[in-house]
Amino acid sequence: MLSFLYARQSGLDDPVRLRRAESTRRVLSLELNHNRDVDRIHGNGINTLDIEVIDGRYMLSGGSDGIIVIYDLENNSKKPQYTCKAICTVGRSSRHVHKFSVETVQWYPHDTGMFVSSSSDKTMKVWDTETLKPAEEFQFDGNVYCHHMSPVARKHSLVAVGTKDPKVQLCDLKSGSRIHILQGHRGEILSVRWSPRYDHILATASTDIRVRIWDVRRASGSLFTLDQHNGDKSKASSEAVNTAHNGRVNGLCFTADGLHLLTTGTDDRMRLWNSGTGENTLVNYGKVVNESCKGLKFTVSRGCSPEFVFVPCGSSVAVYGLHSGELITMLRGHYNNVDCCEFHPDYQELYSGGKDCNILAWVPVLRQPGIEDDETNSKRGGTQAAINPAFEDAWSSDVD
Amino acid sequence: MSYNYVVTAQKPTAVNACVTGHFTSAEDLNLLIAKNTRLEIYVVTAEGLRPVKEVGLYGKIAVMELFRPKVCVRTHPEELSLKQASSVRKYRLGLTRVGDLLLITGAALLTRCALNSQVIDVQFLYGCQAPTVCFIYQDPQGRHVKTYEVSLREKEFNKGPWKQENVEAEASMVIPVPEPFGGAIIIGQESITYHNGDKYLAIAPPTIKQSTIVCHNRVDPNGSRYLLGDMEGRLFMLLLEKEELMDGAVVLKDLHVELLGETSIAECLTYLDNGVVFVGSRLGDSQLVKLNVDSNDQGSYVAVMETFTNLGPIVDMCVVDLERQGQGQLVTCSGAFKEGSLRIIRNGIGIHEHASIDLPGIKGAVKFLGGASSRSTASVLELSRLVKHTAVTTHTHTTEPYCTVVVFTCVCVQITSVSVRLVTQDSKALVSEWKEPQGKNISVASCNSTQVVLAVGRVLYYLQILTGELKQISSTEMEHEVACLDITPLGESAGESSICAVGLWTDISARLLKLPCFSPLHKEMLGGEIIPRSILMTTFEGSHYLLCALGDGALFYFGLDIQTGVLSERKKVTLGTQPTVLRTFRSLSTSNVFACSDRPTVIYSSNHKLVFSNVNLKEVNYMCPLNSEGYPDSLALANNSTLTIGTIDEIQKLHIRTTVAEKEVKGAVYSMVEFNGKLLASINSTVRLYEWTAEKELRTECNHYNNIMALYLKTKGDFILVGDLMRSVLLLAYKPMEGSFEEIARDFNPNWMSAVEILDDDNFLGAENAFNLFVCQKDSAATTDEERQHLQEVGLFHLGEFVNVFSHGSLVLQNLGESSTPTQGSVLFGTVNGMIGLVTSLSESWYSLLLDLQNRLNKVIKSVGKIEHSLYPSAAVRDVNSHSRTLSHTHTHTHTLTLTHSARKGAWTLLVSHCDVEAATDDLLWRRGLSTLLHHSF
Repeated sequence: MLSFLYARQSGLDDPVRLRRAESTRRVLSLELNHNRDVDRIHGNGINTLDIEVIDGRYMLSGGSDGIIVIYDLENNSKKPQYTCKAICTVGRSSRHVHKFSVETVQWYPHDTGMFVSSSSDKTMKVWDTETLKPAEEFQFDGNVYCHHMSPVARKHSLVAVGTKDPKVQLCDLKSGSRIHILQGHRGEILSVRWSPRYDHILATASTDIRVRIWDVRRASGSLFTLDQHNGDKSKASSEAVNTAHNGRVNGLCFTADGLHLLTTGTDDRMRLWNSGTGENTLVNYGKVVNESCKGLKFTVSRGCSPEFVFVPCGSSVAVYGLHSGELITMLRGHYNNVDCCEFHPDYQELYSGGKDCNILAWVPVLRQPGIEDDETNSKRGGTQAAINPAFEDAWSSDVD
Repeated sequence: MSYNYVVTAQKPTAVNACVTGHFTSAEDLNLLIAKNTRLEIYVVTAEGLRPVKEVGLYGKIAVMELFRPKVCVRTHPEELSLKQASSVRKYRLGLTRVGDLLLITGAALLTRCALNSQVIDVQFLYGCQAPTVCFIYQDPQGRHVKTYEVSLREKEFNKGPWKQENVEAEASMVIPVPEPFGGAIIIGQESITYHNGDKYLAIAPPTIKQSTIVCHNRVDPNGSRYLLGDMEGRLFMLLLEKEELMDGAVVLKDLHVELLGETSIAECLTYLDNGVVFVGSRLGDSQLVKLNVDSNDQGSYVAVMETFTNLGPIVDMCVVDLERQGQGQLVTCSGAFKEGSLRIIRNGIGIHEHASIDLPGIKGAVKFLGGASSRSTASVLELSRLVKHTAVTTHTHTTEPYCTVVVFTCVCVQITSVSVRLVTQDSKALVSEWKEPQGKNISVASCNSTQVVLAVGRVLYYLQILTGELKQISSTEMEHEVACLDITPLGESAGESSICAVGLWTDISARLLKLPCFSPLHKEMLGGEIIPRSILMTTFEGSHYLLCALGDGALFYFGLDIQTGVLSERKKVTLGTQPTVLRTFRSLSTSNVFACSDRPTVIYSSNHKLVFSNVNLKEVNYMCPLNSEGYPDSLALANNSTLTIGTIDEIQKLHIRTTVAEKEVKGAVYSMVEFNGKLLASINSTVRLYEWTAEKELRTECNHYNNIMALYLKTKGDFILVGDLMRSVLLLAYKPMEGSFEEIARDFNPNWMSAVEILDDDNFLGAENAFNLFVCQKDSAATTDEERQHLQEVGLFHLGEFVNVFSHGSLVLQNLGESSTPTQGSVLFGTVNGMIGLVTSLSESWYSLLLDLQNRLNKVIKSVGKIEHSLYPSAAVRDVNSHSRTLSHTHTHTHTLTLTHSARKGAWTLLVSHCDVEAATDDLLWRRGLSTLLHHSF
């Protein structure tokens, strides 16, 4: 650390280097920390999480019970340990609450005043954060599995929606209407993702084991379909041509620079693709157990070097090197299957939600000063010194 | 609300890049130096480097290449045929961003090749049919070299002629070799290899292993010699030995590396001409060095010709008042590795005292050449002899000499109130004497080596000094009595002046007369009632000036046309409060003027602007330059009682060592500060207060744990400002009664900090990783607890520089009556690139005025490269989150400064028109073919 600081100070390194190195170190030291809890509100499994990028302060969660909760992640306790408070809830008492399981929640990328949720009750609702009332409601014919708004688009405000229907729907928030459908898939749409690089590029994943990349400005079909064999016919049977996985594709995630796309399938594989060419980079992540029959919400790190992938894997979250494919660690802590995880790029923290109704916060380990040094502190006795707050309760009786 | 103004005191001095070529015209050999956000253009002359132009850019210069768009002679080493030149316009855009384009495309290309890799270096190759790039990239297996052809039509990369897998693991640079060899040289940590597809040649000279080679430059156009510089500041020459084959083809036979010597740690090298090399440095002073044919006693072929001061990287600094004159000096920790030094920076000029004698009643001091350069006699002796000599003369004539000027090598002219005398130096014999016909007293006189002009009341006499004779040529009568006059020869007049400058009593005017006829050329009414006391014609940076000092310490200065005698651009400045005497002297081969008064000032010119710099002396009545063996390049300064001999300094270097008392802690101590007689330290994530025990040992008093990594600490009273590695700033209060810390407020933005400072009780200044400054405010009046806990970010300013340190203080004396500033407090900052700047608080009305001015200036000034000013700060937004923030500080313009002195409405139009001219020149320069790659902070 000192050498990085020195290099930054003397201009030998770009300041970004220290930042990347420290971010990487922090991701590698993620652990379930007793200093951090998240309020437990949901009475059923948690399907989806989203942290807004404006202040990096508020997190949304959506559960199988149809409830949506907003948490404040900021530490106002003036102490290292704190609980992320649920500041508001769209609970069962609200008449606007989703009737069935909430599958996806997402903040409006440019303003925390609005967020969008979609549910198995065949609706997608656009919420006003202030009033917690829907400003807009879209009705669909089938269960809504997923939706996504472009994180970079300024020219359009389209929400891509994936439902039981093989057609991907594009809803315009400005007009409040469904303006376009993208036809090509033959199965249910389990995941949709806009590129973080180009505001017109969309990726969709379906139970038809294919992943399509679309340019929404073009009326005719998709740009291309991801092919796990990179066009090598000899390796695939005729029906498996242009397939991304050998099972339902239920998860999509672009890397932060938008140059790569990750996909997960029920064939227990995860693949990394060049998002510009559709080429399979053939990074081998090994077996990535994937039992989810719905969409899987996984995420990648940002600002690290190298970058990491966080994938729910049974009751733990697996951390892989994005480009190496190496399994770095399994974050174990949930009592039941994990369905979603979300990375906080400002502080390199990970939040995961699972069927055990818990949201767990995975926090980097701090570099604490040595224990011996603290001992000299406690030996003093008598005066009320600042003791490690973790022991504060035990000591409070001593205070006169 | 607090309003702050950011201003540059010292522009960045660290050199990032340099390039040589014919830029300002086809004949001029130019050196272009990039200093972070600034570009300096020099002409290489026989005398050294002459500055032509300095331009600021709204961006950081990452790479710089020269090319000629019209003729398309040579771009980045690629040859373009004339056919392609027809589409120059389109092609040029691609070329100007060649590095950028290549790196981006290169990355995309590699992604396509399914390589998890990064590009280390990329260059165009010579002598290929299609433009071909050669690059080193790294993947998990190691580093490899590949070539790709650029297909201009398809805008695609195609596989190139050759590749080389698994080159040295630390291979870092590609040097393209021109024809006839072609191919490329790959520089690694331990070896230097040559590749061209057919041939492969490697050498591993032991000398290069010591350090890492960081820069290179081609010496000859045919590419047979290259300069290499390493991290230890050693300079190597790489020689390509050629061999002629039977069929006449010339091929590479061998590579040789020779150590030339040691320079500053080079960031970039460029070969100028005639064995002269510019060594641009980021970690130490940049140098102009000469490569000699023969080595000196130390075995070095390198001789330093000139050194260019670099303050960067400023790792730490503090403001001290060493001379206790109320003027702060800045001591900086500058440089890195072997270039590390402490430097003292002060506003104004320091005089180094070498000798002084007490001589009560000194009326004047004169220059006494006396062949001191040829004789070994110490000059001080001559000086005392001169003093004695003058005293003798004075005694004999019972009159005071006004002016004793030494002419020739053996004769001197002495002007007293009664006569002008020509005296031989050795025998002190009087050769010739001139007296006013009626025997009236001479009131003022001026003389150079061939002429004497003197005034007797209203009458002016012109004498010529001939061999052994003083000859009166002409005389004239002025309207009023003459107060001062000067006949300093200017231009190439070879010691003779054709103009005489005269200041008159009564009508308070400055006049220029033609010699020898005394016909009037120009009359300038100075106004007021204070008579001119000293008048002087001088030349700064090739421009001629007339300076005229009044009896109240005011100084007028004008541009002077030496042919017509016409004065222009009248300006006034106040130097002191007493009558001022102007004298010229030369320092470092530039002319300067010393204004002797109660506040002695050195006047010099920088970028064709006159600069007035205070000298660290109390009072000087007379001054004369002195250059002898004993006191080279010195000044003799006299006040009422003392004669002092000293030299003018620039920025000094000092070397100081200190020792530290110790206390062992677990973890890294990032910051320590004295706090209420105790020691406050930040250790990893903890802020800890140590108190002294009776046994003089350190004992922990209290801790604060809620940080990620507490890197920086600043204190004010019981408040502590903590700068975190990545969690912005935190304000703590120390509770002395409880002996504990309380968290008062925190900025919740994810800023990666590089320096912090407390501006006042409510405002806190921070500098962060993305080269921004920001101000946070404590909201004590907030109603809720939560609001009180938040430090509100009230200002953000994109500086474009990485700030390492803040320090309260100022370099300016605070009592300059006339131009009192409307600002409060001041914090200095130092950056990695050696920039020193100032942050100061303004009132709201001043802030709006300056902001308005800034906006207007931005409409008028066309930036170099057409990069909008508004883009500059917005480009700096932190790379992870696209936070949109408002810019609420004024951006610094040198022009704005000019205005603050004369904030009258009338100045607006004047100023704007002035800027227009400058902007037009900038634009022209750009069109002439400046290819600058701009890099926006990530």
